[in-house]
Amino acid sequence: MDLYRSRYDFTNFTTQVHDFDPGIHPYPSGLFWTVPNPSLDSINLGLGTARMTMTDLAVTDFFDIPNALFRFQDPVSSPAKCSFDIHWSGPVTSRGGVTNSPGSTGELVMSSATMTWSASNALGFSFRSNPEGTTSAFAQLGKISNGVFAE
Amino acid sequence: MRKLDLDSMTWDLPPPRDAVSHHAHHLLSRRGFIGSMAATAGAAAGAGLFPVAALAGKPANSAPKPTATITNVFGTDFHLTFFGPGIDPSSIGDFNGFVGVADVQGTGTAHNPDGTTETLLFDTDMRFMSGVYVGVDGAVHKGAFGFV
Repeated sequence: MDLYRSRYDFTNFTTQVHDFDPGIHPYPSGLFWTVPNPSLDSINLGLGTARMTMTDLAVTDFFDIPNALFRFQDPVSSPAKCSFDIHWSGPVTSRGGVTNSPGSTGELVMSSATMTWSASNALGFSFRSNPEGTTSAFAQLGKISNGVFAE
Repeated sequence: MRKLDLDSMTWDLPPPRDAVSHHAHHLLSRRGFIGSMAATAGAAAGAGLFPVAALAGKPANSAPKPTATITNVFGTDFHLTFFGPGIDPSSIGDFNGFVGVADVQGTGTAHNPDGTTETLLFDTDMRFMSGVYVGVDGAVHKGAFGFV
């Protein structure tokens, strides 16, 4: 979950001020930004609906994506926590197979999503999203088999 | 919080190459940065260890393996996969189940350590995986995971 001041800069990240993620374990070759046990509800590929929530999840604020990957700033990070509530609301606008991931099979549906979230770090920073006016840039649900399950 | 100098020319890294994304959407997301500089190739996954503290009571050996998709950024391999039409977004390997991706953008209110308040823009890449997977112990487990 990333925060930018004034405008997005997805090239050089000159305007990014916070990056909350769970880290890479073990660094750098392990599980990437992945945590267990989110609360999931109402997964329906026919309707394109689902919900995921987590509360007070321990994360790290690496401040920006380059530093999250390569950890070159000083201090490199701050302990943080976040909460989020994501709704995939549908409708399904398209369906298709897994065609661009060798070793994976499955079906994917395009949907729409909204999200509210909050985060804070140990340095005294806190953020709460505005529930109004969010943009669903990309929302997808699917049923996937990969690795040994796709063989 | 101290002011951060995020000028890429000051990074102890090579400068980004021209953006070459396999999906235009990646240019508009946090993954766009990685995708613009990375060469992605499928490769056999190493067995990563999940942080014990994050397992919340589950045996450590039931941790999932990272995705077999490797993304090389500036010479470092990350077990990272992108999302997009036709792409398996799972961050774990040997997995069978439901997945979800939500890239949502918006605004919110920030309270800074110096007492100031400001409006910031946010961009997220949130995902879930729920189903069965082969853990690092080689056994099949059932579980749910979030990509945050």
